[in-house]
Amino acid sequence: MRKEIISLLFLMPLSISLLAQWECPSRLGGSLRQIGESNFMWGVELTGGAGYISNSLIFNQMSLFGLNYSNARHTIYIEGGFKTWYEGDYDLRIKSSTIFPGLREAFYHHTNSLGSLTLGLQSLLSDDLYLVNERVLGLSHKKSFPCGLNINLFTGTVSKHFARNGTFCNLAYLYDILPYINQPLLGESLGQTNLAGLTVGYRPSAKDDEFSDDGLGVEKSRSLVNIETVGLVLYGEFGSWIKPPAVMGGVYANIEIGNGYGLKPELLYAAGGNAGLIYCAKFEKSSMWQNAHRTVFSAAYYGTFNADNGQSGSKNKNKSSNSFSNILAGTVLRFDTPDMPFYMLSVKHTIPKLKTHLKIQYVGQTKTNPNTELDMEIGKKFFNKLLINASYGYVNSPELLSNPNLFRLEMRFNF
Amino acid sequence: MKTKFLKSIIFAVIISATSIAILDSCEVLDEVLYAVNEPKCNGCKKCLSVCPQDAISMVDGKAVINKEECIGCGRCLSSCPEKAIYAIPVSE
Repeated sequence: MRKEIISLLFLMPLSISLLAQWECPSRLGGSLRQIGESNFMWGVELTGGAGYISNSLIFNQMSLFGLNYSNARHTIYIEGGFKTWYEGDYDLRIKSSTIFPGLREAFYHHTNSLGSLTLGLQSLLSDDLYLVNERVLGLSHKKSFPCGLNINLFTGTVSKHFARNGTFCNLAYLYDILPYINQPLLGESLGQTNLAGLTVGYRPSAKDDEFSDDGLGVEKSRSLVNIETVGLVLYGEFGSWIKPPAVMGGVYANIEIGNGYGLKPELLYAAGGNAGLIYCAKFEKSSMWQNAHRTVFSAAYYGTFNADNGQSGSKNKNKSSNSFSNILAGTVLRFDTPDMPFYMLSVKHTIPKLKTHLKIQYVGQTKTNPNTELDMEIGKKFFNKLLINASYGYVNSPELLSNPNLFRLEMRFNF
Repeated sequence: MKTKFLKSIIFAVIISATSIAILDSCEVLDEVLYAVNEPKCNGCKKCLSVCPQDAISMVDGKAVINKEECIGCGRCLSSCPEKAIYAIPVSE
């Protein structure tokens, strides 16, 4: 049982980070089962989806397998499977389909007094709001100090075969309706597109936590605005496909405003191919109702200043921005760093008793003739094993002759 | 438990293979392939980034699509910033 808890404690953050975006929302990491009395755990997830957009009918299916070995300090986890998709365009009378295998995770994780180290193919999420949310073949090391300092060092290579926005994991091929989208560059072979970064975060409240239990049972008063974390970030992308290399540095913070309000601002300076400033912020309000319902409202903005540095007419269009943020705002449009400036508004309401959630999301660009999208989703879990999501999306784009509607039904079955 | 695990894997693989076979056989639609207008190609490699079949390679700084490998998904078409990729019917 203890082993199971240790494994789940490690794997749950992975699955939560996957659920944070609408792409790649696998639940496999959080639903593994122990094999007998051994240290091994396993799980299978079957995903099936049917969608309709712009007179195109789309089916996709994924079969994912996960196998985990863990003891007190060591974890080995492998996750992969098969993917199938079919698309029929009834206006153009054309179709395409394929089936292929892929690997999503294959890493070794070790924890000791020096910190935690993860080696191999892993989901990497940087401590800040913006920079990295990617699958990377490489290493990451995290170390927390009692004084409240957290250091996260990571480096690795990204390939289209396992990247979040790559060929195996994402659903982009299903909804590529905008002509000539600004696609981030993903290497075909290892070493062509790489990243490295360092975040140093400081929790001013760490010392308060340490001395909070004074034995008198008196709760210390907290100010209305509480800086949870403030940090520095240094980040770079390099490789034979990334010329010149991109280098970024900046500051980020995680601020609690009280009553469930939270704010995550970030400011970065980008050097290299496109010098300029990148600024973004996410505001979130979480409410727990008396009937145990939960509502989360969030608003985010991602903007740039002089990011193109007057080079928009230049021949070098390889590097429009950093490539591995995977913000992917909007089910169809999937706004990412090349699409900035844009904003995201969403409300998600969860009814635990019915195991149901409702979500409404609106994304749009803040430029002349912007692309915008409205998404709605309702999902319900059956028997803790089957999740069914129904979603609708409406895209408004000056680049299209008519505004398409997306209808999609998706099921995820874990066993 | 081991048998159950193996059965689950076999079951999932069979579902993957049969679902696409059924869909492919019941639709009366054409297949297309894609080609590169060489003078327009700027060699940015974005089409290589999105091709699920590894059907595109770089020759003398220009993208070239291998017709034997292409499945006609069209992702390269929408990723090309220079509009250098175009569709051709399979019959050609």
